[in-house]
Parts: sequence; C-alpha cells; structure tokens
Amino acid sequence: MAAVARNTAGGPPSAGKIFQFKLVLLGEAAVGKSSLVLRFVKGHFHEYQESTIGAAFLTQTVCLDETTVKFEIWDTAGQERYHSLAPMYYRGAQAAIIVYDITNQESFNKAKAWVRELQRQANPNIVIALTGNKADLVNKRTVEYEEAQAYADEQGLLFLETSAKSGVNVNELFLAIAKKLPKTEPAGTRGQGQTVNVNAAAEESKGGCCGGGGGSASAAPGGAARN
Amino acid sequence: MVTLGETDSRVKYRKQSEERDHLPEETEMFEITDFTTASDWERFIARLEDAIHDWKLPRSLPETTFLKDSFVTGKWKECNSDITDVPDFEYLIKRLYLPAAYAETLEAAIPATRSDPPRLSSLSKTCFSVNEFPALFEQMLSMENDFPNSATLHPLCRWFGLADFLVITASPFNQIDWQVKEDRIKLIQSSMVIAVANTKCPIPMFLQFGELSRLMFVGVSEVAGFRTLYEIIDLERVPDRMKTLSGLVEIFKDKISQRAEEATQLIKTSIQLTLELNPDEVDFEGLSDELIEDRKPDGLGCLPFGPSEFDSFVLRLLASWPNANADAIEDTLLHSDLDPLQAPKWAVQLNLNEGSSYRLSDTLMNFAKQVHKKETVQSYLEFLERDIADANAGDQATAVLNRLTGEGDERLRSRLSKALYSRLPTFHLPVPIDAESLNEILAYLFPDSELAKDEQRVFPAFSERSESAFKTIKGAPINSLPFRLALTIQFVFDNYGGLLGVAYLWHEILLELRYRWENGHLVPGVEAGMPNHGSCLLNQKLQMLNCCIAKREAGRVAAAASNDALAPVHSKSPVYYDGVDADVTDDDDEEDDEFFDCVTDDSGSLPGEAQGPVAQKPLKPEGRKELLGTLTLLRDTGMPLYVPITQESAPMTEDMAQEHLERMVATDDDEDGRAARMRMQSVALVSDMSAFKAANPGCVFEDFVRWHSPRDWEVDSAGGEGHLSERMSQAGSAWIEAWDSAEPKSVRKQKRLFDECVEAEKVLSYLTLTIGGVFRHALPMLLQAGLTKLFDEMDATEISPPCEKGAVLKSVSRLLSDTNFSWLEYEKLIKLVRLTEQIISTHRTLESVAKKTRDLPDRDGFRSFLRTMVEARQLTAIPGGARSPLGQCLAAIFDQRNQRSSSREGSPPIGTGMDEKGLKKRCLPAPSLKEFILRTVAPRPYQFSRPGVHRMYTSIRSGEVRIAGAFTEDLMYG
Repeated sequence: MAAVARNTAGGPPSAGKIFQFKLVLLGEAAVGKSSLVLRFVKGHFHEYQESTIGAAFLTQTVCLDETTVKFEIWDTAGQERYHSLAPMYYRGAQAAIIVYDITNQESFNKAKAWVRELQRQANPNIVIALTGNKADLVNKRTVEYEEAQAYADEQGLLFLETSAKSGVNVNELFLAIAKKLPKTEPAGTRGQGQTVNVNAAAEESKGGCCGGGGGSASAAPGGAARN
Repeated sequence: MVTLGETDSRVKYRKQSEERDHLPEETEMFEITDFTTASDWERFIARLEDAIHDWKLPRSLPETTFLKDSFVTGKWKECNSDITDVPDFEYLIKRLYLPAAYAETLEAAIPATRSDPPRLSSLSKTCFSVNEFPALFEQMLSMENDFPNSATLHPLCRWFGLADFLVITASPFNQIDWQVKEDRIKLIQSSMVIAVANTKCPIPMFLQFGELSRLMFVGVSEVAGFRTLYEIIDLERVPDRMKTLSGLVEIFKDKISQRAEEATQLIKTSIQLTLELNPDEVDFEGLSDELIEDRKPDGLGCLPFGPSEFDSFVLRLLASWPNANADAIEDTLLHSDLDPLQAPKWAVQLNLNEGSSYRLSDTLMNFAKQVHKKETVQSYLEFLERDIADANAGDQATAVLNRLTGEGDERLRSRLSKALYSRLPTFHLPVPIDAESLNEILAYLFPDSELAKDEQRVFPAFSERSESAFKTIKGAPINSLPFRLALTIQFVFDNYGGLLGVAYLWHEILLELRYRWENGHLVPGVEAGMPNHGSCLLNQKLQMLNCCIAKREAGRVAAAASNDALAPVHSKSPVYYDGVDADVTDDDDEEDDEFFDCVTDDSGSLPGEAQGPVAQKPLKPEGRKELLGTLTLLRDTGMPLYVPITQESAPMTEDMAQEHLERMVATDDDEDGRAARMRMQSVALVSDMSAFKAANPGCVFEDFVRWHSPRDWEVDSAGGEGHLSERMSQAGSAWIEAWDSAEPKSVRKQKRLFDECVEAEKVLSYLTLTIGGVFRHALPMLLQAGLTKLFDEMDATEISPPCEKGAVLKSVSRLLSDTNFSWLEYEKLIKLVRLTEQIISTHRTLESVAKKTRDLPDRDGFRSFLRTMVEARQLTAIPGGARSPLGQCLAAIFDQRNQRSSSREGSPPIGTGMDEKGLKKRCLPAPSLKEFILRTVAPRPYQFSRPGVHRMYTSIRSGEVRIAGAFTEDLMYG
C-alpha cells in the first residue's frame, strides 16, 4: 500500500489513472434523486420512479481527458425518518449532490439545511453540488434560478439545474463534479475513501482497501459501472 | 617489465587447454601468452591501469585552485570500478573528485590571492618555469580548504587537501587483506607506483588497509618527475613530542631531512583549535533556578518534553591561525602561544546530536511500537493470577471498587461484588500499580466517582489548540475520557511496569465500564449523542456504550416510576432488569401511560396480564405518540391521526456502518439481490408501519404516506380530496408490499431494532483487546496530546522551529484515517517532532547559559545570534574573534568559572573600551581537538634536488593522534 501512496501522493494529475470517489445524493423526498442517478448510470427515466427505501447503491465511470473517474453513488431516501442514517452515507464521501425540486420552495429550504449539515459534519474537503431538478417543469417553477445560483456562489457550491426526464445537464453535473474532485489524492480524501473500497474493488486488487477514494491503483481493472 | 612466474603460467595454460579441448589445432592457440601480465600481480597492475584508462583520467590536472570552502559546499562526484578476476587481488577502485566547477583558474585567482605575504607557491615557483608548477602542488599548498567543516567529507580531503584521488579498497571477497601485513601493503603500494608511473596519471592513488573504520591509507602520486608518498600515523597514546607544534615541526623537518636553519624560514602552518561546550558540562550552579524547576517530574495528565537528561548538542568554537610562520609560534609543553582568546579567527557552530533521545518523540514512538503486541490483556493478567485465591489482593481490588461506588448504595455494591467476583483475578505477585496510585489514576479517569471527590486532586488538563486542522484528526475531544485514557496508558506504561501495568490498568478500566453499564451510570467525559464517525473508534465505542446505558436507564426510570405505584416489590428487582423482555414491555407500557390518555387502559397497564388479549384486538390503539396536526383517518373520518412511537434508528459505530454498507454492496444485482437489499433496508420501514397500524386502528396506506412521506400525498390545488402520488400508487411497489406485510404491533411488541443489552455486551467484548489493541486504540489521542504539547512549546519559543504545523496536522490526520498505518510516514513524523523538540530545548538551554553574559554589552545582539545559530546550525564566523562583542559573549559562555562570582568581586562591567585584563579572565576549556597543517617547499631527497611540496596534517585529541604526511621526492635529480 505504501507504494501506492508514494506513487500518487503529491504528484501531478496522473495520466491514465483511475480514481474512485464516493458520492452521496441528499435532498427532500420526491425531488428526483433516484431519477437523476438512473438517468446518469443507465440512461433510463421512469415517470413514476419508486420511492427509495433506505439507500441504493450504483456505480458509473466517467472519462475525463486523461483520467478515469469511477463514482460510487449512494442514493439515499429523502423521507425525514431516514435523516438520522444520512451521516453513515455522507461521512467519508468525497462528493455530495444536494437535490431540490425547482417547483417546490420547501425542498429548496431543505436543501439549504443539508448544505449546512454537510459543511458542519462531513469531510471538510467534500465537493458539494447543488442541483435544481425537474427543470423541464419550467412553468411550475417556484425557485428562481438566480436565487439558487446566488446561494450556491455564496456557499461555494457547484450549481446546475437538471432534468432527469429530458436528460438536460445530468451528465454535465457529474462531469463538473469529476473535474472539481482533486486528482492528486490529497490527505483529506485518501483516507476518507476507505469505506468505499470494501466492495468489489477490494477483491479485484488487494492493495485497494486503503488506497482510498483517490485510489489510483485500487480502482478495479475494467471497473465499469456496476449496473 | 619483469615476467615473474612466466613458466609456471605457461604450464598452467597448457594444462587447461588439454583438459578443455581435444581439438589438436586449438592447442596451438594457447602457446600465445601475454608475458607482461603473466602473474596475478602483473594482471592486477594491468587492471589498475585499465581503470585509469577507462575513466579517461587526465594526464595533467587543470591549472585551477579550488574556491574557499568548496570542499564543504561543493558536490563531490565518484566513479567506481572493481577488479574481480585476479585471484587474491580483488579490489574496489573508487575515484572521488570535486568537479572543476568549484575551482577558478589560477590566472583569475592569482591577482586576488597573491597579495598575501610570502606565499609558498610563489616561493617554490622560483624553481619552476611558470607553466611547470604542478597543479597538484598548488592544491597541497592551497589554504582555501584547510580544516573543512564537514563530517561527511572523505578524510583524505581533510588530511591531504586533495580534491581528486583514487582509493583502492579490498573487496569483501578478498580474504587476504583483512589482516594488515606489512609486506602485502608494500606489494600493493608498489603496484600503485608502477600503475601511476605507467599511466602518467597525476591523480594520487591510495590503498586503504586494515579495518575500514581505522581509516588507514597509503598513497602515491607522480607529477612532473616528482613522486609524492602519502603516509598516515595513528596512535592511541600521544607521545610528548607530538603534543605540541614545536615537536611536530621537528618531526616534519626530520622527515624532509633538511638542515634546520634552512628549512624553518619556509615552514608555514595553519592551526585550528576546537573548543567544545557540552550541555552536561555547563555550570548551571547559581545560574538558573528556573531551569531546574522546569524539570519537575511528569505526572498524570502530562506529556514529557525535552531531553531525557541533558540536551545533546555540542557548541563548537573554532579558533584558528591561518598561514602562520611555524617558527614564530612557540608551542611547547611549558609554554604555548596558542591561546584561543588570541586567535585571529573565530568561528562557531552548533551541532545537534542526531541519535539522542528526546522525551516527547520517544514517548510517541515507543507507544506506537506497542501496537504490534499480539498477546491478550488476559494473558498478562494470568501471569499475575494464582490458583489459590489471595484474600489480600482480592480485597484490595474490591476495596478500590467499593470506594468507587460510594458508601451509600448498599444494593449496588452487592451487585457489583457479585458481578465482579467471577472475573476478578487474584494476584500472587504484587499488582503492578499499588492501590493508592490506582485510586489516583481512576480518580483522574472518572472524575464523577466518589473516589475522585475524596481525592480532591486537580489534574492538569490540555488546552485546546485553535488550529482548525486539529478537527480533521480522527481522535477524540481534548480532555475527554478517551483522551485521558491515552495519557493514562502512557503514564502507566512508563511508570508502572510497562505492558503488565497497562494490562492491569485496562482490566480495571473494563471493570469500571462494566460496572457503569450494569448499574446505569453514564461513562463521564464521553461526547453525548450518536457515535461520531469523525472520531476514533475507541471514542465511538464509548459513545455507543453510553447510548446503551442511557437507553436502559430511561427504561428503568420509567419502570421504577410505575412499579413504585403498582408493585413496590419491583424496586428490588435485579439489575439485569432490562434483560428480561417482559420488563421492557412494562416500560413501554408505562411510558404510554405517561403520555397518552388511553381510553381502554384499565387493565392494559397491568404488566404481563393484559397483553395477550390486547394484541389480539386490532381496534385497540397502542403506542401513540402525538397527534399529527389536525389530520384524521381517511376511512374513519372521526378518528384523529396519531404519530406512533417508533423505534429509534440504531446508533452505529463506524465499523458497524461499514459492515452494513458492505452487506448492501455484497448483494447481487439481480432481482433476488435487489429484493434482499430491499428487505434489509425495509426493516425500519416495516417497523414504522406496524407501529402506525397499531396506533391508528382502521388506518389505510394513504394515512401512513401522509405521515411518513407527505410529499407523496398530493392535494389538488382546489383543496379537494388528496390522492397518492403516482409513484406510490404503483401496484406491486415495495412500499405497498411492506404495508401489506406489516402487522399492527406497537413498538414494545416488535422485535427490537436496537437491543442495548446485546450492543453493550458487544462493546465490552470488543474492548477486551490485545495489549497491542489497547495501544492502537489510544494512539490517536496520544498523538493529539503530543501535537498539542509540541505546538504549545513551539508557540512559547522565540525561534522558528523546523516543522510546519499545517503539514504536521495533515500528515497526522492522513495517518489516522488510513486503514493501513504507514510506518514510514510515522517515522518521518516522529523524526520531525524530535528535531523540533531538540531545537526548542537546545535553544532554551543556550538561553539560560547565555545568562552568563548578562553584564556584557550587546546582549540582545548575542541572543539573536543564538537564535539564528539554533535555527540554521551553520558554521558562523565571528569577525574580530574574542575581541568583538559577540566573541566576548561567547567567551563568557565558554568560561568554565561562574561569571557571577567574578562580577561580585566588583570588577566594573566591561565597556566598549575593552581591556586585555577582561579577556584574560576568561578561562576557556582545553581544546578537545587540535589540528595543525605544516607546509613547506624544500628539495628532497638531496640538497641539489628540485624543491618539492611537503605537507603534514596532525590532529590531536584525547586518546588519538593522527599524522598524515605527504612528502615529495624529486625523481630526476634524486
């Protein structure tokens, strides 16, 4: 493992390397978290996507110029009752997408609450993206784009309005996150990734289980999307 | 060239050829023998020459002279080769040289340096035409690199002033040369002479012989018809003749075999005396009381800082006389002109001893090393245990615990004894921590106990650092129980019998934790709430234990309240109360009573009796928590909608959460796997549904959704009837499936999602660690404490320490978040901590020594000088030597006698108008090292020979004198 750490620590973004990041989706119920993930991972959209129970797990790989970023996505349930389980998912995540519904002001307030919670409790280097979903329902809009953009700027978040239904901005969202994630495996993220690697990656490469989220070598060979 | 053993080798070759080859024509070939390399010795010489040719060594050295101190500052290069194919002559050859980049051409150098009055080279050059004077001689005469100040420099550079040379060393395969035999050395030496002569290589060639550490060499070089032989004398006992400069000059003259009156004029000498100030020799008497106060013993709750005993640094004062006339200096056993105070040049350097031990870094290192110990705590205790119960020891332990429990609670104490006796080992050896100390330790750890209140001791606490990066370290809050645990383990490890003591301590701590769990006392000093996954596992486990204790206590309080009313007998119920399911049911039942008006409650509240029938009647509402606004049931519009009491989601420590996620990831991705995952996830949902059904008899799924997922209940804008969202109303969805499978059951009848009894036992059994595990779990907090200590010290010092706080914190937080702890990085960290510690405490010691200078002018200047010296640790010249203000201060701190006594005598403080008397008063220590370089140009071996350069280096320290002489002979007129 030490070898892996030496190879990547502090170096320039390494070409051709595979980086593995844990990403968590948070937000009010029925804002379209699962739909976003499904659109991104499988390209599907179900008008009536079943409400998530607990959390769902998916993976998807994104190619960025020279590097490959593998997302391990934890799609959590939005109901208030599951709120207390959220730390389990966002602790150790390198990225979070906080989703609200542009047709629902309440869900935007909830999103702000999530941002506050993450800033307080999560990994200090976490990349947070604020996402206004259901952008196809413009005529029902209650959350103004400018308002959300201003809030995101103020908090230093990525911001995009997406539509899982039409697919608008979905890939762009994940790409923007992949770009913003540090590829040089800085101190903060490496260790944080440990929870991620317990899965398949650990079997595929022995050194992987601590190589961490940034984990170049730990990334699975041919580690394509899980689904 | 002679062909020794020519016939022998021919015979050998023929034999070989006959053995190997049966082809007659090939035997002819072996008749051709290279007579010049017939013997091994000759082949060895040939190999030496090969090496010289292979490296393309120059025929003449460039006409350059090396810049001042380039020996130290320059980057030396080396070439290596070896001779392996000559039996008994296996040698390694190395060329070490300073590239010409560090030199300046003579022409450039001459105008600047030639102004020095009589230079030997200019003297000798009278005998040469300008271009003939060999560059090697120039090197030997150059004074720019006398006494190079570097520990890593090759000794030959120091002794002979050489910047380019070859060294031959016996290879490890060479069996012959490990013993020093004179004839053998002569043989190799003559080989070198032949090789050097044949190749016309101007670079000196050396043979290293004897043990490598003795650094014995012989060497030879030939330039311009001169042969220089290099020899070394190394003696343990210093003969009187070699102790003084005058004696050495005599030896030098004898060697040149010159008549004295002609030579003395020409002998030049460079002298350097090294005076050392070691901290253990510093006379602190009456100087600094505060320094001694600083060294108070480190108690519980502290970490040590500073040197184990004395700081390990050496302050070196180099007093030197460059290029003096040897005859102008009188240095005999009776009288010496070489008084360091009179030396024209002074320089000073601080050297830190790299290997020395410093307490904070040692503590951190030794602690971490224990992590690998595989033995269980139990196995250490078994060592103490014996078969026959020793009443005394047992009593002692219970006495301690009894004191902890306090006198008042008879019932609890008896429970405690009962719980403990089976586990309490009885010890036949004296326990590693005596009862009094153990009391103190437990009082420190558990300040809420009666024991602590009796002790009434105030323990030191760490103050929290402001650096925000501290929060990224996976440890525990400053001064929390895990934090104090780490300090205590360290304290016991150091002071009470090492690992055995720690095992005993851990055993006591586990007893205390179990006691608290069984008696429902929260563990003090642990963060409240759910396990904080940003902290270390030990902290999380203790938080978990507290969650269990709190949950059980809540249950017990409720139970006690109701039992007092209903059945007083219950108040004496066993402490394992909550372990019994019926009792738990009681609790919840009573809780209901507290909060709700249950209409048909008359019989229901009686424990054990009414439950059966209640469960059968679906219409009887149970487990209601509160009204959900003004909502009413959809079907039965009169009934208000109640929020049920639900099971709280189970607290999870990081390892549990990880296990949970692993299980989820591990399931296959087909339909079965998804279903399994769903089942795993929907346990809590089904529990909620059951509780909801029980609280709201007659409810439907829509009612549940309105409470649980209100966003899925869509009300038309007209305010008419609402309906389920499309996604919820999909037939066959997991939600509806779960709803159908959920039976109406109040929480108290459900299977518990979180069983505090099981979880508490899990925590306690998890904490039954190996001894290495104890250290591993405590390490994060010890590092936190160590860094806090280090940073506090860094803030307190005036110098800028070598470690950067942010980088250190980053490294620690990486170390502790990695599942694979990187020892390499840890060692790097500790090394940095050690250096910082050493520098800070060295500066502190020097500061207190510098108090000796309090009467001298420019004291502030001296203090800032000390600071830079500690920070940079570079050789610093003191312009003006002992006469300068800095020099006076230095002389004062080197002074063996106490300054205070002299100032008491009433001598006036030394002003700017410095007097010789003031200087004379200083009594500097005897030099620990004296070095002399003698140089001359004189004809040798005969009066009529051309004059060559001779150089002799001598170093004298206690128990060793080493003389390295290079003497030149003229070969043309010799």
